[in-house]
Amino acid sequence: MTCREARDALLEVTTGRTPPDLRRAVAAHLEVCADCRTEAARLADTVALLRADPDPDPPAGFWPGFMAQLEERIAQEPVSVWARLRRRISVPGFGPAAATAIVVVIFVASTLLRPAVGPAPDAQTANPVAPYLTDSMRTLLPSLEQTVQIWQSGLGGTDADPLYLIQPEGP
Amino acid sequence: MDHEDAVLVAAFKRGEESAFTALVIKYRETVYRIARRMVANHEDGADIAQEVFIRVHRALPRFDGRAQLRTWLYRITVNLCLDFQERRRRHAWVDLDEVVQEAAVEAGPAAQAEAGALRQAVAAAVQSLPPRQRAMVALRLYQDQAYEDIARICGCSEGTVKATMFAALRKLRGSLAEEWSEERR
Repeated sequence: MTCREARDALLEVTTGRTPPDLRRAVAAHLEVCADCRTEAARLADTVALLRADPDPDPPAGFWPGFMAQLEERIAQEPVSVWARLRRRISVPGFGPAAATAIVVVIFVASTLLRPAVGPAPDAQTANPVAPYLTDSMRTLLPSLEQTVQIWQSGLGGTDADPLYLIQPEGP
Repeated sequence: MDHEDAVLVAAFKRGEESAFTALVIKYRETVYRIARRMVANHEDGADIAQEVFIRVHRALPRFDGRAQLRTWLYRITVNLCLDFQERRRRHAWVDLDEVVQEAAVEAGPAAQAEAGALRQAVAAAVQSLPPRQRAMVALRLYQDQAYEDIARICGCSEGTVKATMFAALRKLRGSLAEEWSEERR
């Protein structure tokens, strides 16, 4: 190890944690170099003296006041709209609530914005089976027409596929 | 990033203000001590510590976690101290009475006088350094920060930190030899 390398390492050795192999190398150099040894001793003394000075601590009872003042100052800090929104979004539980709200809004919007239903269907459209019911059928089955109406209203009216198809009779 | 810090930062970003309080409690002593070593009186040190945490509160939502939170925090502290001293260069003296008053209150009179003299000598010597050297000494000798971290905090290379530290320690040796010998006379 050269003197230059030793002096570079001295700083680490005297002020920090050094790997054992570096420490051994410096020690070996110091054994044979009086100048570096003197430099090392001076450096070590200086660091020891500086480190003997205890950490400056604030007066007793300082921290509660510090925290209160800090809280007060933070409360007065202007908060941007974006930051406020971001913080709000980050609130636990906001995500599921927001997702539910979005689903509800989409459902309501799709219901309200559904294409308008056309003009009221005429009697034939409203009851497509009616033309096929003859008087004899009505006499034999008095509740037939009523059943047909219930079926139509209960199964989606004219849009629904008919449960049965009555083929019109040929001419 | 330190796991505990990462958890607290994430919680703060989710909107848990108590996580910020926890971070302040964790780092307030160190931040205060660095500031005190640099400005050498309690009021200014306390003001700087307060300002550090205000800045951290503002910037924490944008903190990406690539650096250590500690390093980032100390960098803010050092920069604020340097700004402060630039603004109040003429007043950057050591409040020696305060330094002496704080010396080992529980010790006996002789030990107290000795401790007071030592603090006075060390504080005066450290204050005689240029602000950046003072920051490096405070971070290395009193906060045990690695040279690599000090380089990040001070925004320079590790080599520059070591060279500056070496120069600072030589200067301190001279100042302390003078101060200490005068004090003991």
